[in-house]
Amino acid sequence: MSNLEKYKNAFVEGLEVDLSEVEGLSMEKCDKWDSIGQMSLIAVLEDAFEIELDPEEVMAFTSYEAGIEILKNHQIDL
Amino acid sequence: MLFDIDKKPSDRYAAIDDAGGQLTYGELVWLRGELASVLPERELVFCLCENRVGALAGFLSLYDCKDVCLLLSAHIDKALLRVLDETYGPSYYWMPEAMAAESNYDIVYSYKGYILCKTGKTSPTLHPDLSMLMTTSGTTGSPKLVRHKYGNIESNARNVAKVFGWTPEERGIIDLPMQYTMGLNVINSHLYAGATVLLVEANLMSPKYWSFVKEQKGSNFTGVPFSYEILNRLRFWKMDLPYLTTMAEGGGKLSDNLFKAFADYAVEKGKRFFATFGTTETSARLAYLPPEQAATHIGSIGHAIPEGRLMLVDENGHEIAEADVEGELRYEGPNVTMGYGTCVEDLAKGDEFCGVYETGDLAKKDADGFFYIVGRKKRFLKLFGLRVSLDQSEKIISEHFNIECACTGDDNQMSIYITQEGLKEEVKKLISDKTGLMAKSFEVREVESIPRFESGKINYKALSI
Repeated sequence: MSNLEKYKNAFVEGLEVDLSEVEGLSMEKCDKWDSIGQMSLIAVLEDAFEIELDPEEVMAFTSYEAGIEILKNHQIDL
Repeated sequence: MLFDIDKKPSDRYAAIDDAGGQLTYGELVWLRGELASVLPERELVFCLCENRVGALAGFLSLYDCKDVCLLLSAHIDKALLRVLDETYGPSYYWMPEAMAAESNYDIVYSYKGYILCKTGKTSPTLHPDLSMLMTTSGTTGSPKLVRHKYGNIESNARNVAKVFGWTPEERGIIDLPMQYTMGLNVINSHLYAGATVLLVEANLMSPKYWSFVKEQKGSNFTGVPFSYEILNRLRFWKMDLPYLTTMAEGGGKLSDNLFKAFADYAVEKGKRFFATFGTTETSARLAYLPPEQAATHIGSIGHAIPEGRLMLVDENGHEIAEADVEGELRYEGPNVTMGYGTCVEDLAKGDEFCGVYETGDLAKKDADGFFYIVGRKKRFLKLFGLRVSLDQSEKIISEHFNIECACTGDDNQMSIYITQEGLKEEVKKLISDKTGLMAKSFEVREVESIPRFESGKINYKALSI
């Protein structure tokens, strides 16, 4: 699985959304992306990429695009 | 006035919210007078809450005007709201201005983003002792309410303020919903002390939450176990929060690991960690563990709050005196509510609990007199701190699909057993929609048949093997 597929998959698994909705998704646009969703999304991502995010990164992870930038900090390119 | 609000300094802030709303004690006194001239006493009001100063101001004023509020979330499922409306027939709504377009009721008053609407219905008969109504923190769409009497929230605010030693200088952070019994209790106990509550809608994982808390110098945090799981994932230990002095937990059992981690953190940083225990039926808190005991009594709910009595009873209802013997938890105190309501006629009923409430939890007491919850007798789970009735879930599923169904599980996940093939995903979706919880909170299993006792009752023990 490519990194991009892994990334997209984390949204499907963590937020229980359809793959087709994932690109461009944000906390504002998605009802399921509340704090419970956020917890579960971060948990799936941390497992999938074997990383640990800082408090600021967890909080800044509020959209599909923001997440791509955050993963770059951990040397993960999508 | 309620909590002696009229005796507090009138220019002191009672509440500040994270949308910029502010409310002083003086404004509360004024609004109470305003509303008293707008609507008569003993009206039934559905209060659609958000953690906003307008929502709180309206509820407190209506309460003091002797009107009876049912506290609901402003984001309540529309179908459930319709059922509640048809069941109880409120004569007024106190709701966010933004919701005005959804109804065509007459707006009779507005204040700080909230409006009072008249439905045109006549208020049902309300028992003279009935003070307010809450749902049982449940999410399964049952219109079952808890009937509170005058003195319930007053005594719980007083006793909880005493336990925590609240002063007027406190800045209580309220991100638990105000329509949730513990959220309301955190608010009330601070107002009783003449302190300020910080009402937060932003989520615990957002930068907005923490910038608001830091800016407003939040001093007390209260969370359910899930809040503590979030703090743990946020690596809360790394945050610099010099104003935070007290952390309280309630609404479910925190894992022993997290309990210990936060108890130790508090000792190390000179903060206080309070484990508490409460139920909607007891107007929130009934027990607390003194913070100095936390590190040495991991997982304990402590002992009764002042004016209350906590005990264990055996199957015959006799009090258990010995230590380390399991029994059912029973509480007596002025915060015990009157009973339940499931239809409009119930609102005319008087006190059925008479000051005694059996929580349905199985517990034991150690030699120091501290209580520990060890299990549950009643059929409900607490998923993400929300009470989900297993029987109600069974009813929803079996009626919707016209199938046989049994629900069991633990506080991590509900296990749903069905005999019909090919419905797993649909059942999951239905129950997730109805409860508003993520589908992963539920697992659906197909079984040959649902095991039953001769009486026809489901044998849950045989199911989970």
